[in-house]
Amino acid sequence: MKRNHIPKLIAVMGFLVLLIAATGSVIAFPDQTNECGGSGCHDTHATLTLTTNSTVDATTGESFTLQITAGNGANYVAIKEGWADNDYFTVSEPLVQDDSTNDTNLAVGEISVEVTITPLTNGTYTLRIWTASAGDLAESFDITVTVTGVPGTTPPPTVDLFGIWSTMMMWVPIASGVILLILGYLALRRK
Amino acid sequence: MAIHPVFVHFHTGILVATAVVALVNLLLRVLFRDNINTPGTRLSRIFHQFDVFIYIGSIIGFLGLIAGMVTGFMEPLYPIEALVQMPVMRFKILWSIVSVEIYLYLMIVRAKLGDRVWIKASSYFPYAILGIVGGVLMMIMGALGGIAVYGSSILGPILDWVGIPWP
Repeated sequence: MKRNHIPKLIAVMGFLVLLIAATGSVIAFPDQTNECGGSGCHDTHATLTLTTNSTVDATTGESFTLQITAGNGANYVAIKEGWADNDYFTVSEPLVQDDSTNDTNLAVGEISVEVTITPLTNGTYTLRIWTASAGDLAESFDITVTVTGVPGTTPPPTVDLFGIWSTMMMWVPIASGVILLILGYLALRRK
Repeated sequence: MAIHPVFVHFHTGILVATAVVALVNLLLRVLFRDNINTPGTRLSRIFHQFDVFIYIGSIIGFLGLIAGMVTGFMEPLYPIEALVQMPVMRFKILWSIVSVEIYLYLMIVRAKLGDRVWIKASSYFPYAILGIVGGVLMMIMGALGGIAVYGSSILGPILDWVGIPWP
């Protein structure tokens, strides 16, 4: 071994020892069931609260109002197309952010909103409401809506914007990558 | 604490400036080909300084975009479940990935070819035009980020004029 390689070898070995010591110090406690935090480590919310009516009787084409309250750290309340039977209703406020204009509760982490919902056709449906906190916590709440009255129209086909975006997230980078590879080949090839 | 804005403003400004410089260099290359190839002329010096500016801008763009994406997903007030529910954020996520590809392309092509990137039309046209496209994408994404946070942007009338809908 060359003499001038010895300091480099010592430095590399030093880093390896540190790396092994650091990774070896990570210990899991699979039997622990209590939440992390509460002692200043992490701030955790116990559970998000989400309340409104659990059952509603409604008439096709006639709107009803849901008073939705979310708290304990809630940042969003959403009633989006595509969840459960949400496509069978039109919703006045599909997404409400904490302290936005539609939120009547000015406290941070608490949302109160009145959402006007119109059933499109007869039947018994599940309307799904979702809330999320600033962290990774999310909760959903299902309401059973029994709709009667004059048979309504078939709900119009919904445009699944999220699905379109998910597909684009795969194909647009691949397509642009292929185009850039072709351009790169043309730029770098030698005549 | 919001960390994403700290990581995006600086390189967004540089990349928009890079797009303008790329446009100027493209025009110089097309209109004054003989002057920029004459060593010692002022135009030649400016051209080559602009070329270095675009190269450094591409490197900053690539690194800055990755930093911006990482900090964007770490933003405590916008969990990923909420981000993907907002069309503005979906637009930003998708086109920031394409922008990373664009700046990676610019970086690799310029690193491999050096300032010879400006010799062939098949290399300098994509190089300059992608630099401009990247800058415009960054400008639009920055404006949409501003709209998401503040509710408006000075680019609002331009987005309207181009036909890009914003909430």
